[in-house]
Amino acid sequence: MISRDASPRGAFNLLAIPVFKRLMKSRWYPAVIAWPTLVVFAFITYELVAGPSSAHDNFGTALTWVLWWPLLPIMFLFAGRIWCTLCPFGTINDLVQKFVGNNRPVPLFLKRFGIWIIDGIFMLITWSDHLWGVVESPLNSGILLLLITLGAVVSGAFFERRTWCRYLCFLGGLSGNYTRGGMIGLSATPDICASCTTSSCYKGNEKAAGCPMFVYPRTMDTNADCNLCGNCVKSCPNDSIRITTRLPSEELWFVRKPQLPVAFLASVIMGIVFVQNITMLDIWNGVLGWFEKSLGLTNYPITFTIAFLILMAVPVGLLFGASALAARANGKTVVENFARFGYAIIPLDMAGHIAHNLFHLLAEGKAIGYTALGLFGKAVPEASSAILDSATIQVLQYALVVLGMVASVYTALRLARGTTESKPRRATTFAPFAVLMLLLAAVNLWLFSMPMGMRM
Amino acid sequence: MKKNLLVMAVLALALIPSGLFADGMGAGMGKDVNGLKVEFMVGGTKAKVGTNQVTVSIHDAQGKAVADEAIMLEIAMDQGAKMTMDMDKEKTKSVMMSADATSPGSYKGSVDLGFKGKWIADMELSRAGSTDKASFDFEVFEAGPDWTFLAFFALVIAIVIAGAAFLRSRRKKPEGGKAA
Repeated sequence: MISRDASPRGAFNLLAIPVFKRLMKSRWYPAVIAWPTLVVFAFITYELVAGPSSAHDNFGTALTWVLWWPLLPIMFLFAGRIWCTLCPFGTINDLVQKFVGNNRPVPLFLKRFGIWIIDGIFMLITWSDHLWGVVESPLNSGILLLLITLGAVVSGAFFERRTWCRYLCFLGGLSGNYTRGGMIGLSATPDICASCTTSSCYKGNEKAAGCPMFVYPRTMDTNADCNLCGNCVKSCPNDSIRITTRLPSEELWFVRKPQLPVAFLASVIMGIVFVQNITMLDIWNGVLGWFEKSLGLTNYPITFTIAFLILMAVPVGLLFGASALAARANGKTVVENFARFGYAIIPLDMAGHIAHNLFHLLAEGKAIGYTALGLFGKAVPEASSAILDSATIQVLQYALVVLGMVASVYTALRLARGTTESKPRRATTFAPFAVLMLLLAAVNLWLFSMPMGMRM
Repeated sequence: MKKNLLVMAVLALALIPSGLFADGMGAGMGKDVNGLKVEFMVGGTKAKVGTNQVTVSIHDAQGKAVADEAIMLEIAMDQGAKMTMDMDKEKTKSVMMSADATSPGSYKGSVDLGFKGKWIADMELSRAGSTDKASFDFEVFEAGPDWTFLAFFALVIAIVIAGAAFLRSRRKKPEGGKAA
């Protein structure tokens, strides 16, 4: 029987659904999904490195960049970081760890600077994609997957648990950020945990291993690092764990210990969304031409790098400016405001990311079928790969950006409420961030108003 | 432990594809054009999807290198072989050919070929007021994977796994419950 669980905010506990609870407690979960995912991944990697060299004809490219990549942020929104428990790189990490793992503690520098490294890797991959072509080249896409595989193998071979996923994987950094705004959250029941002396959820017991993501449910205040693997559900002797529904962006309203690198990543992701959008538009060549003329450059890599850095710096600079204005109102430092209100950009990041990739999913979705037919030697001449027409996709993109903007503005409002008791000061703290969110949303809407290039 | 090492070594070796050293036939061909022997070659060993070097060698009937030809070369996909819709990749490519100073009678250029299939090269040779034409057709193959990179990758993975297995074998197994 399904019953409403008494949780702090009256959220619905999914573990109250018997079938779901059985699944989470089953020893077959998540292996029953993770292993087939690994097999598909192996096939995709093979296809990328050994299949057709043109992205247009490559089934691996279609599955990776037209299906998986667009679905990823949608998954984070609706199901939290569950991808990370099914992720083939994580499974490879676990496999290597099981056979030859040394389970050494995570190096201190990774704990301190891991997220900065993730920020850097994310920017590096986006930059290299535009210089050498990762998405448009099946082989380069395959090389990227193999390099991530190598990282997971090294991590599994030498370090404990999922060091790679928690501290180094750029996808993990992205998913962690988006999951903060997601609609599923795992938590422990404080009253039950207060009398617990086993800490099985973290250490593991005979029923399941400890948390692979180094999370202690009893003290966790964010779901950014929880991959919903179910280990704590299995190992908790007191049934303290709950997996609850929540409103999109709800977790962001209650940020207690804001972290600067998380806020920085949030603003960098906005820059990446700008880069990904603008480089697929006709105006991009004009922008590059203007840069070349203004700076007297003829070298594309240098021109692109400068343009890239400027586009990355715009959201960071705007957030910094808004933080400086807010600092005058609320008495906090600029860095404190930057770290706290950077979280408010996350819903708009997610909306912009989903909206951008929605175009690829819906305007090129049939390419998945066509390239699959290509595996059997069948060609589809002169056929459109669109599932929906451009106008409909554009309306969906606008709607997503507006929803993201509303969530970001509201998050900024909630965060402003938490910074000061004084209502006038709250308003003057909130105002610059509200303007910032509206500005970022306006830029996104402008970018989505123009026809975009295809991936395949 | 030894068994584990053996299994891992076999798995790692299995990653190295058997086709490591495989390659195809060359894309070179020759024709007699009004008394000149013209050899045309695309790609190193075979023409592949992507950027290819084009080499044209011209010798007279006595086998003497002809180094003062002006070559106009246009390469296009055979109309009958077109299957896809990316017109940009299929359009006619004009190839700039320039004399190779290190090899008299040789002319070099490069061309980006977007698709596998049959392509046709139309060549116009001009010298001392006379113009000759020649046409060559050739097959473009899929570029295929970079086996050297893949072999290197497999080797690195194998070294990491072997190193980890070695270190683990030197450590005592932890006591207590199930490891995380």
